[in-house]
Amino acid sequence: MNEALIFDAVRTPRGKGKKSGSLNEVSPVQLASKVLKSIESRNNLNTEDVDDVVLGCVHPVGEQGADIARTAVLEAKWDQTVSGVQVDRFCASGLEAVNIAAAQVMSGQSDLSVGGGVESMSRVPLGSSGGAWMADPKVAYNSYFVPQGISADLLATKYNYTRNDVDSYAVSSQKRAAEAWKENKFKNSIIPVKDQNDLSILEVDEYMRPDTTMQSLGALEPSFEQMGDQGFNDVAILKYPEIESIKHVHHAGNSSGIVDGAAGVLLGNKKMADKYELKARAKIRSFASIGSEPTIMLTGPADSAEKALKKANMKASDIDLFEMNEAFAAVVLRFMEALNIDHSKVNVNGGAIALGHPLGATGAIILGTVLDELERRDLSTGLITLCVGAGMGTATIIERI
Amino acid sequence: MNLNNIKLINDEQGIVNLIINSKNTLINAEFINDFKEAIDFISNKKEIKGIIISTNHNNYDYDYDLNFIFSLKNAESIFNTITKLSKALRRLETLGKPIVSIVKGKIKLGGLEILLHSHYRIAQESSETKFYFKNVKYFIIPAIGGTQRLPRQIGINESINLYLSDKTISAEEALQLNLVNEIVDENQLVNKAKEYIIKNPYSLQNWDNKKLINSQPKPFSTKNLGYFISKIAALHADTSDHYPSVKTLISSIYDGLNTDVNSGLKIEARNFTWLTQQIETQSMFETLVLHSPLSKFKDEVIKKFKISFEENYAAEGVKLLLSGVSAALIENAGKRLDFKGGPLEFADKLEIQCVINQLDSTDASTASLIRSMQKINRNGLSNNKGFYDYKESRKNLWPDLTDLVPTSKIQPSIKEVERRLLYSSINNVFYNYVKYSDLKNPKLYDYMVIKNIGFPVWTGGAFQWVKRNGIKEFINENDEYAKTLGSRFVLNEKIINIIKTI
Repeated sequence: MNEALIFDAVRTPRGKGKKSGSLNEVSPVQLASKVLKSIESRNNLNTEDVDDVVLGCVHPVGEQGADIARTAVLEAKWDQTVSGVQVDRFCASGLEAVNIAAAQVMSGQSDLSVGGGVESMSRVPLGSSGGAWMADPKVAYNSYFVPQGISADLLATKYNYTRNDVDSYAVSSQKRAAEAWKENKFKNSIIPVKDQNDLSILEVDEYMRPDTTMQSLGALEPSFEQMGDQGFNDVAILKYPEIESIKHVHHAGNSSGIVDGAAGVLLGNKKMADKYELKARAKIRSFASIGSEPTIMLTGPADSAEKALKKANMKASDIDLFEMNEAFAAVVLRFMEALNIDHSKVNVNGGAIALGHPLGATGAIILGTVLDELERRDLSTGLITLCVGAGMGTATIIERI
Repeated sequence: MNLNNIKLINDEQGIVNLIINSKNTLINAEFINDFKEAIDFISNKKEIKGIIISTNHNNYDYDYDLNFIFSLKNAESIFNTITKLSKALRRLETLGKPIVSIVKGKIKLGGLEILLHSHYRIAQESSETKFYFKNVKYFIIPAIGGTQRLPRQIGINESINLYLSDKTISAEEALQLNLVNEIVDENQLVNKAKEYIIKNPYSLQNWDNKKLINSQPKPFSTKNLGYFISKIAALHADTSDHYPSVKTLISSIYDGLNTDVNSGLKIEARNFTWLTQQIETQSMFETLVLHSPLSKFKDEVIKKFKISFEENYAAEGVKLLLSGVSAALIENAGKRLDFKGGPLEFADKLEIQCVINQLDSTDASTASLIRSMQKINRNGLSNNKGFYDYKESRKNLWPDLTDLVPTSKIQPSIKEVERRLLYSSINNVFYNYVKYSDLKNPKLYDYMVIKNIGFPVWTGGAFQWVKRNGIKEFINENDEYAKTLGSRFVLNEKIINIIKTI
């Protein structure tokens, strides 16, 4: 098997995912093509050498529809021989895209591939793609569907994470993210979004609230209480009858932010490294996706991490740094508890609670984040994982070369 | 045309009057055959200008002959029977010729469905003209277009609300809802129907009209998507995993409205057929539909049964608690069985002392729990403190309960707890049946325990449940329970004999 080498990882800054957000005026296909253009120029690529562009996108409808990966290839004016494919593994789509690109290289079917993702949540809002899982009565009944926020509160209830626990975690995410920006730790990956006149549109992650405190979070009302009372709490308890009632601890301040953004990772084999004189920054050690119980939905990261570790013949203690997507604070708390890992190794530059979670792109973004940080600290191994809708998890282990 | 159930009368203007003339208002094999024959006949006559459907009965209370439907030998014959009528009505609806229905009196589900396939619907002006809805939760779902045409006519959530209610709708309300198009005095009914036919020589339903098809309600519109997602949860929560008709109803509507009426009608008929094959449907049908009213039971007897039933249920919950089962699991098991609350909630309602009387007072752990709760004034709902803390409209299990009654590390499955509560309740009901030796009719008794004492409806009653779920298994499992849990699980010989004969 060939080694899948990581040459580059870039991302846009994350704009607030609403009409007043800075990236709202930029269409998702533009965001994705800016990432591709940047990969091309940073690595002096002749794009006809790229075999495939795999992009994650969770709501592939409307302007994100009709295979946005191929559309972005064309819009980036890459060679027409470069194919594009859009993939959806919900919140892990961006990481799944990297894994697929890596698999192409590892199996010898591609020499050079891009994995990444895009989501303009301000233009194609959450829920736009509908789906039988939640709307088809038979499917929703049989799978005990509840919305993710209810799952997050169910998880917190089941594993006894209090409001205090999840808020404390959120404050630390904000602090770490603010610190990271202050020290300019994202500079290697971030590509400012500019218009056709080269005028700047957004250069920083604009969702952050560095002044967040326990007190300011304490003032926020739980987000999913009302929704739970409509029947979703009871459905969750049908599945988890050992629980008396769901404690609603999550709110806008300790859940991932809704943002716009795109990211891409350039992967290839040794032949391409030599041809372009590219430095292989890291290699893919292993990756895995798993399915888990869908009502609690968000316990998959630990299972997928363990599967990836086993494939790499490693233990959790062999990993220097973790990036675990902060979909909801309780998910990260559960992940750290299940794998017995210290918070000092996890999301050291903050996460989606502070920076935002552009669904289809996040997996590729946080892979770049952990790679930059491994280099900065001169450490070796990183594990990236995300919880995934409908009860799944995806994880990837990288190792610096 | 010579049919027993349908009269066809041509007038000089080329309009056919289709008059329902059946012996009774049951939709059975003969009714379906004649309706189909009549429609086939009409469909082949090019010269016919329009059709007026009316009735010789005082009421339009056509309803499925469920005895007939349940007597059909298998799913295939039920499906074929239902689709025969459904297809005939669809054929009439799509001829292009105007179809007008005239309704009066009580209008029941089958009547509503026949009405809905027509292009123009006239109700007789009268306080007697009323639509009677019957909650499908305890019944069956529409089979000849009711889940397809009603939502297309009046909207998705409006239809679901009606089908899941026992509402009676007046003619005026029906007009506002668009169930009927016009309310007309008795002697003007036929004239108005003819007027419509003459003015609309070519008539199509909105759902068949290419210009209007895009304005039909779609499950994936922003509004309806949100509605479905939360409605499904609310219904699932309300029914736990019982009452399959509710899921089937909303599923027929969702699934059918994602496509056209032709496919929708097939989806509906398949769902209806599936529903008739479910144990819960058959149990509820046998007990609730086939049985005479409960006038035979005196109020004071019913009251005695009810108190005994509730005390036993509460006591079984307390016994489970004392054996180390978590309170949440006990309460959720009771709710999943569709009792009107958890056993401990009942204990609070009945007051702790009442439940104690049911418990074995020589049992040391029981006595100690009771003393401890009484010492701190946790007597039950009356002083807002018992197994629960009651605050305003909310309640939660008393957090310190686990200090008083330790919870075992290893918990039984929810199914085991459910079974124990159900068996104990069935035994209580059987015990009282034997105790009052003048009771001779187990089926009537089943009806009473459902209607009056709070026995879960989906079971069809205690006798019905045992019959449907296996008499042998019931007896064996009681024997197992009796070994460790004592005499309340020892079945009386009389009961065993009765069970064997039902």
